[in-house]
Amino acid sequence: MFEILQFGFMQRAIIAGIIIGILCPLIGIFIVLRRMSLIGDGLSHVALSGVATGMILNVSPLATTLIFSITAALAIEKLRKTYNKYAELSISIIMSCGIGLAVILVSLAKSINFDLFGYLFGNITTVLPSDLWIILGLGIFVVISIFLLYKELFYLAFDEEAARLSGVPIKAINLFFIILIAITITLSMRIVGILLVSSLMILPVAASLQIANSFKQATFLSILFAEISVILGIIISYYFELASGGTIVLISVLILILVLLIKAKKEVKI
Amino acid sequence: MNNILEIKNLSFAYDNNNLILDNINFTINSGEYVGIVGPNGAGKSTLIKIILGLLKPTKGEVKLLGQNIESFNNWSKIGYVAQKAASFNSSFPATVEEVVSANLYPKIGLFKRIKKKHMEKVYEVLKVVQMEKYGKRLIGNLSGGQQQRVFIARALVSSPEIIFLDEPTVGIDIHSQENFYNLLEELNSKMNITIVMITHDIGMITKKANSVAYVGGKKLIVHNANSDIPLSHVLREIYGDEMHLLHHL
Ligand SMILES: Nc1ncnc2c1ncn2[C@@H]1O[C@H](COP(=O)(O)OP(=O)(O)OP(=O)(O)O)[C@@H](O)[C@H]1O
Ligand SMILES: [Mg+2]
Repeated sequence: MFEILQFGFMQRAIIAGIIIGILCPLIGIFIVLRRMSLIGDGLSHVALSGVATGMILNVSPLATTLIFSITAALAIEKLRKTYNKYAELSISIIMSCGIGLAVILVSLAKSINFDLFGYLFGNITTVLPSDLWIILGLGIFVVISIFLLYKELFYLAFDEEAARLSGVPIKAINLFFIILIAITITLSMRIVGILLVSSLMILPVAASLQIANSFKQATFLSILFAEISVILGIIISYYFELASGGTIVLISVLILILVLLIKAKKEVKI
Repeated sequence: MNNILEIKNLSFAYDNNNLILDNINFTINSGEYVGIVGPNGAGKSTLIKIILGLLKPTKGEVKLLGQNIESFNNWSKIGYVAQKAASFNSSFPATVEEVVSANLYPKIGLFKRIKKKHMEKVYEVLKVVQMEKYGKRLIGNLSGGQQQRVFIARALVSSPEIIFLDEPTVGIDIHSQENFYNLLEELNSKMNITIVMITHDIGMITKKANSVAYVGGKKLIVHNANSDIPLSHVLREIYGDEMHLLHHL
């Protein structure tokens, strides 16, 4: 089975996969516990217009997408203050803008050779060497950031009011966190695909929450489940020529079902 | 410092035309033990939230530890147990340890990890509320009263100078309530922590506290042993005809 590693694109896919297998659940656990799941979907739809722009301008889609999704993240934060009673409205507004723009840009870019399907659902053959460096660099940045802000992010997720009263600088951390989400979505899109990134943020966390005995354990298990899904998913999608994102997400679903079954069985025994 | 809390001409409304509190003045000195009582919906929790800067006053000013609340930054000196603090997402995967140590984070500092001495402090306060055996348990799997104690421990862990408690004894059994009141007395007398507690247990709080603030009819009336006005008068003012009912409690 190691023969697949002789291909440069497979090496890159696996390395990129390992990185996003850490990033997505690490960001995802805070997204899930803060009930912000919609934000992943919102930002990823904006990411598509970033990709199309990159294609049209003939520059790295990774770079344009990064700019688009971070801008969208900042816009969501800004709108959230305007509509503070309807926080999810700000996400819906930005998501609508993103899809509208994306559809127009994609139709404009049709003439160019544009692998829309690959961007939507993931394509392991497309991680370029230059992409890998960006994924590696920014990926490490996100992981270190989360690691350093881990305890504050935990407190924010558990009890935002108490976190604020204890002196945690919640405004700054919220803003920074949403930028980290935008970066993670951008980095993940080649492997998992824009439409499935938020699934990889949520499914491994959902499975870990079923069995974790502490927050640390939940974090660790989420990453473990995500890594299994990503690596197995890449290998399977290579042999069967499947869209990698779909394969990865289906494996995460399987893991979730397995965890639920094991838990149900245990509870019956007790 | 003497005046730990100073409220001047405070008015508050959630929406513009409906005043909840109307021109209130209230001062708390360092080391005091103050009760806040009043009927449901009178504005007690609202008052505490204004004091803590969670709500902006419509009019007037609030000074906490001598600082204006808008620019207040001495949060480790403040402890707060919210009303229904225990009504969090009960499937949240956090242990008692993790929850209590959270209030030490600003003290530990951004980017830094929890050290052994912090954990020792966590267990010290867990012991105070008799929950030291539950450190590794998931908070969602504890009973309501046990959760409430954990939140009290969380408020104590940063060694605050003043603690605000919003109906902390709700859901706690009689025996533990007694322990709890003893604990507050100890914190107040031995550690000189100022205590501000909202409760409906008028009988108990009038016995324990130095003074009691009655909130009702948009007003606040402070009553203590040296007050000229008799307590029955204050009670009638605040509770109206319900007063005799509450007397049985
Ligand atoms: N977020 C809010 N928006 C609008 N009105 C509110 C809000 N929170 C509370 N109120 C109203 O303000 C009034 C005071 O509420 P508050 O919670 O301060 O009462 P309380 O004295 O703490 O009552 P209780 O003894 O029931 O806890 C009530 O009439 C309540 O309906
Ligand atoms: Mg209340």
